[in-house]
Amino acid sequence: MLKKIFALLLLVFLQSSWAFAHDIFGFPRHRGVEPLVDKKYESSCGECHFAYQPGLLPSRSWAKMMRPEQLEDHFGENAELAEKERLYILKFLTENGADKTWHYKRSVKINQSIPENVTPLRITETPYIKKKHMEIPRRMIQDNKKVRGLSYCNKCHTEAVSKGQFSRTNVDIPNFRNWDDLID
Amino acid sequence: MYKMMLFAVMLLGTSAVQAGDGTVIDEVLAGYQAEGVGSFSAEHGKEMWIAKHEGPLGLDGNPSGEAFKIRRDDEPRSRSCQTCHGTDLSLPGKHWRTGKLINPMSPKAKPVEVDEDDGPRFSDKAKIEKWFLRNCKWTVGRECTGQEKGDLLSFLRNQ
Ligand code: HEC
Ligand code: HEC
Ligand code: HEC
Repeated sequence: MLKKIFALLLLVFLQSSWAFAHDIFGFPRHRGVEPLVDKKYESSCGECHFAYQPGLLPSRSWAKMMRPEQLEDHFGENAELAEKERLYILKFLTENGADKTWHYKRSVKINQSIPENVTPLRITETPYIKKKHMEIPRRMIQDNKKVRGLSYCNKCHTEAVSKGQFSRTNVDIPNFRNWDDLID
Repeated sequence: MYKMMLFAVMLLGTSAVQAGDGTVIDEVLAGYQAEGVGSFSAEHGKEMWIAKHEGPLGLDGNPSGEAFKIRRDDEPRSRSCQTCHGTDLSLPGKHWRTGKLINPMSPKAKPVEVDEDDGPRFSDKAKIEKWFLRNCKWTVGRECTGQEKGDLLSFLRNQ
């Protein structure tokens, strides 16, 4: 009996230390970015494009993007918010930025690829995301009426919205179903 | 007790229906009037809706110049409310730049994109004001006045 309990305890210990080691040594436990959902965030930032998960940019990027003067000229559009909403979204985004969600692989990769003195406003400008899409030709992105730009992740990454997954195995480029054969 | 609960549910039900039938617009209009606006003109609202404004072409004054190599050839030469909401208010519109569908502006039209927390048209005061702020500044280049917003709503509610 005692032996059994001991074995069980050992098992529990090993398991948790495995998870612990993952966290400590920087092996992220999850594959995508954290699929956070927040109603207020969706209704404030999800009406012109899908609501990008906070784990796609470091907190300092979100903090910059959420400044009132930045929202007034948000990539040429107006994304202004009432002050109360703005502060709420600012908090939500900066508390869950890519630098804070180190148990998610994509967030870690995105964050690590950005030099410390740089504060990108675009996910598509971060070195990791840029590199991952280097081989995709323009006709599949900008010149593809159903995609329009690399910014619209969810047009190709079918599980981007629901699961925060951005793996190449779940890509379906509209008008180019056989993209995998066309890109080498 | 059971009856009372049923009653409460019924009350909730009717108020949810009412939200879509113009009570929110009435409240918003009353708010503008409390700020000193007299009466509203749907006729002028319609003029505003279709009026074209000079837009600053090539808004590349944003911080990320290089990566701005996106498809810009669709950029409208002039801006109006129709740039995104389209000419037929009973049909869905489309954000000119991102391509995302926008539900028809007509309160009578059936929404195409059904988002559970998106109520019917003009059913949330904060949402109406948020978009007036964003869209007036983008389209007209300044905030709209209470008179203008009231005129626009008076036009839109009857489409
Ligand atoms: C009025 C429409 C609108 C609203 C509201 C809006 N955005 Fe955007 N957003 C855009 C446009 C347009 C782009 C640029 C897309 C392009 O280049 O094709 C953009 C780009 C972005 C990008 C960069 C995407 C890339 O290229 O990597 C991020 C991040 C972003 N928005 C976050 C937000 C957040 C956070 C909010 C809420 C505060 C928000 N957006 C609200 C229109 C909007
Ligand atoms: C035009 C379609 C398209 C769009 C839009 C797009 N991607 Fe991708 N993405 C791809 C393809 C195709 C690959 C695989 C490329 C390869 O392996 O050669 C990929 C790969 C990736 C990868 C690496 C996956 C892996 O398994 O290694 C990540 C992460 C990623 N994309 C994130 C994003 C994000 C975030 C956005 C939005 C800012 C985005 N993508 C927009 C098509 C797209
Ligand atoms: C750049 C694109 C764009 C332009 C131009 C534009 N709108 Fe909008 N508008 C939107 C989007 C996106 C929404 C939110 C999506 C939705 O409500 O389905 C919206 C929502 C609204 C709402 C909120 C409706 C509600 O149900 O609460 C009002 C009011 C509105 N717009 C009025 C206007 C007026 C007035 C103009 C012209 C001065 C205008 N819009 C021009 C994109 C635009």
